Amino acid sequence: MRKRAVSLIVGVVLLTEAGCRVPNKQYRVQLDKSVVTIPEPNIVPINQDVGWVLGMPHSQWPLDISGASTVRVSEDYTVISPPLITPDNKRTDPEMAFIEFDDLGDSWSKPNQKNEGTQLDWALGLIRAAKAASLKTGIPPLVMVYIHGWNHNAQDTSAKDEDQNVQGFKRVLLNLADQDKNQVVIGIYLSWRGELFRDEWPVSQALSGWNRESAATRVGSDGPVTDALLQIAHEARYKSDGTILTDSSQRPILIYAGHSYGALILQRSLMGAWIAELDSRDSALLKSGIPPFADLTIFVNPASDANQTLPLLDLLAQKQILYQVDQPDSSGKTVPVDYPLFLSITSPADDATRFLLPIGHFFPAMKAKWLDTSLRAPDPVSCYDPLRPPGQQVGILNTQTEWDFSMTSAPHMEALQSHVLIEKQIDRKAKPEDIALAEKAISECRTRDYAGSDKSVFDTYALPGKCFVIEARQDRCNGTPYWIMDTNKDIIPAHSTIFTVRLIDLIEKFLPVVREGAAQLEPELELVQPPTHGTGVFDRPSLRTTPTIR
Amino acid sequence: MSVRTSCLYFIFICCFLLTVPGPIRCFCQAPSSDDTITNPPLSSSSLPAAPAQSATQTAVPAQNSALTTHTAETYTNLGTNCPGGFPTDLGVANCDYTGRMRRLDWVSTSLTDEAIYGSAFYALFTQYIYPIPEEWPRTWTGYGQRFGAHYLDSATEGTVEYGVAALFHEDPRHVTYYSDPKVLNKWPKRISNGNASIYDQIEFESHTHFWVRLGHAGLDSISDRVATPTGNGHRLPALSRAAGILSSTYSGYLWYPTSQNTRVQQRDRALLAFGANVGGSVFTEFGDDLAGAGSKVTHWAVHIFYPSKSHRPVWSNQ
Repeated sequence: MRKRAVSLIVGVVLLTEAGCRVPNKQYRVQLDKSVVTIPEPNIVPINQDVGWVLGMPHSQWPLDISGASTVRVSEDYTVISPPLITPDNKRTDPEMAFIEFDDLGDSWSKPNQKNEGTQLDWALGLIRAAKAASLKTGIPPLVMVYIHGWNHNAQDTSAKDEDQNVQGFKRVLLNLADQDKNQVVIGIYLSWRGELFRDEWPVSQALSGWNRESAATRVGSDGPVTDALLQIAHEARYKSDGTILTDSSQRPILIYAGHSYGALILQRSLMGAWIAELDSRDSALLKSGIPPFADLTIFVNPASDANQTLPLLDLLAQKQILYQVDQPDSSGKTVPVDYPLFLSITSPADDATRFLLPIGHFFPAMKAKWLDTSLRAPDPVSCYDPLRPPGQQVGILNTQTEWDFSMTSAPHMEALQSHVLIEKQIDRKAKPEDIALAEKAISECRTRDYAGSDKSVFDTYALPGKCFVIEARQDRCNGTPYWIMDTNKDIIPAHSTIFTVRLIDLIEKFLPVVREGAAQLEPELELVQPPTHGTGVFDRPSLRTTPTIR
Repeated sequence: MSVRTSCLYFIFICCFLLTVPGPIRCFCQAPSSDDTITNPPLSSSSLPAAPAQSATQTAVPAQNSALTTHTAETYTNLGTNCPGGFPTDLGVANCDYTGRMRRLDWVSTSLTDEAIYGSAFYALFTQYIYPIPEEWPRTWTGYGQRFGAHYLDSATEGTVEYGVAALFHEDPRHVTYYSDPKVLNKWPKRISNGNASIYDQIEFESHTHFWVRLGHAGLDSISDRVATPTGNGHRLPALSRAAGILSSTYSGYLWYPTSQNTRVQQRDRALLAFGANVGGSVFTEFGDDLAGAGSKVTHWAVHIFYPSKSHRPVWSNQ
């Protein structure tokens, strides 16, 4: 009897495991071939210049990678590009492409002998067509790449409802497109096997968190995601002849966004490429002041520990890199204003990363041997704040250990936060005239009403009846273009509620290129002083005295 | 009922789920307009029609000026705002409780792993801590009997609840006080500051009305709403839950021994099922508060064991 009972339990468990897993498969098999190609002079087939790995064209790559599955050489693909703009210069609806990766991080859609385009080809073709369209409109296209998180994939409507993230992303694209009728908007949905169990098995689904975190780490580190992101960036940054697209009215505004474990994938897939690019003294893009990969990389409610941010954050602090735009201030004087290259945001209402992440990381982390060091000297983490007085702008963060970084996500960690979002309150005990003034300031919510002389106020953000001020955190360690901030539950009310106009409005404030007309603003990367490597000596240069890249 | 019968019953339900023919499934599921949301090309005109703004607003009284302040934000007609939903949320296209959602809730709470693990724990509890029924031995056989009986209880309750709710087109999901359309319709009348959004006002009020919220949780455990595309359906007695509780109480005749089928035992089973229902409603109401408290406790506990000097950035110039 005992054997029978055990057999029964084992059978039930196996039945559950076997029958209820979401298959590891490609969902978007058919590219939309129904759209007829319109030959445009700037739409060219993908050529050998497209293969671009870790910051350099593959022709310069020291290894022979011509046989690798994710790098294509001299394939004469004919990519069908839909008509993004009509002959009478009217924009069509935003277009969307899918790029799917399997559980090991490899791309599902690969070149075949029939020379059929892949999912990545389709995405690159869209960008190429968007660049061609911008020649007519004079407005740079907007390309948004999104990586979903846990319990999502690229599910279409063949079996059940389309994945909620796909639906939400579509509506975000439509919302962005509606803001400027002349701007071409492209969405690229990077998908991985985020959902392991079907919705019908909620407990198994909840317990798959560790498994999917491992999968996200694997997918982000495996290479093809990096390759896809870099090829997209290359398409957005370069002309077909291989020269840099310097005209900001044509260069697509490229945004990478990742949510939850998707943010983890984005962090891991880009970190090495960024470090390679920043360490390279020959980077053509850096020399021309153009962000090498994306104009803004956003991590929304990242379900990754703060350790994932440290290598890049440390490097940006060490090299004292700034990303600035010259803008007129309230007095009309032109001043450089800092903008983020990376934005990591969350909210106190994100219980998944605030509450569950420490629990999930606690037991695995107990096995680790924690060292309070960083790879780059000085350790543990470099601090840099250009807003501090000259001579005090660099230092080290000496209160945190790797354990601390492991037990929380970066935006929840005060020690790493660069900015804060402060809701302006009215002091009801003040004089009536002061209360009236404060109420007026809140209702108008203008930056100049709150900006002080210390340049710490970046912008304001208005909600009905509320006014928030985005400002640099006091005594911060992080003054780099890797902005990390906790927001408010009025903006991000829960871990998964991210496809909101409120969040879009907030994120747009961090994009200099769409703020006040794309053509006028040209942000530039600036490296204050060449760093010293490996000496353990940390130079303390004054702010922007000897710019080498501008 | 023997272990074998319990197992056969369980396997039958699994097979039913996997193989039930389409027409029966259609019969079981509630009529719904959005059950087959298509995947059109990306176009604002081809996205699932959002009853959204217009529908929500028509359901709101005309004097509800504060609620309409949401529309002052940069809304589009792409998403919808279900009652209690987050303003400007583009991720929601329909507030209805569709047939697909109804079926998913039935399967996930009554038949699959939630019910299996729940029954496993219940069987452990009633085998070693509070041993009932006494006729069943404290052996593997007894464990199987207890597991099977509890699983069948929950499967019966969920299945009957699903069927009755589909029949009357009920939306049996618990809602919080501040997500209840009736509450949302009532609140703006009390708001004095016209500049504040309803969401902000409600959030403010939420800190002061514990007993009101608890009372709402009680009300929500004995009533539910009619499923409508706007999520604004009127309340009605929770017939489906009552039917579910009664059916699981009396179906126990089939698998419990005689000692468990007295009036007292049946009453206890019904009260237990009703108590679980009330508990679910209370958890829905206060779940966010509990999660917030849990988050603080987690941080506190972690730093008791592994203290760090400070979470604030303290840096030095070496």
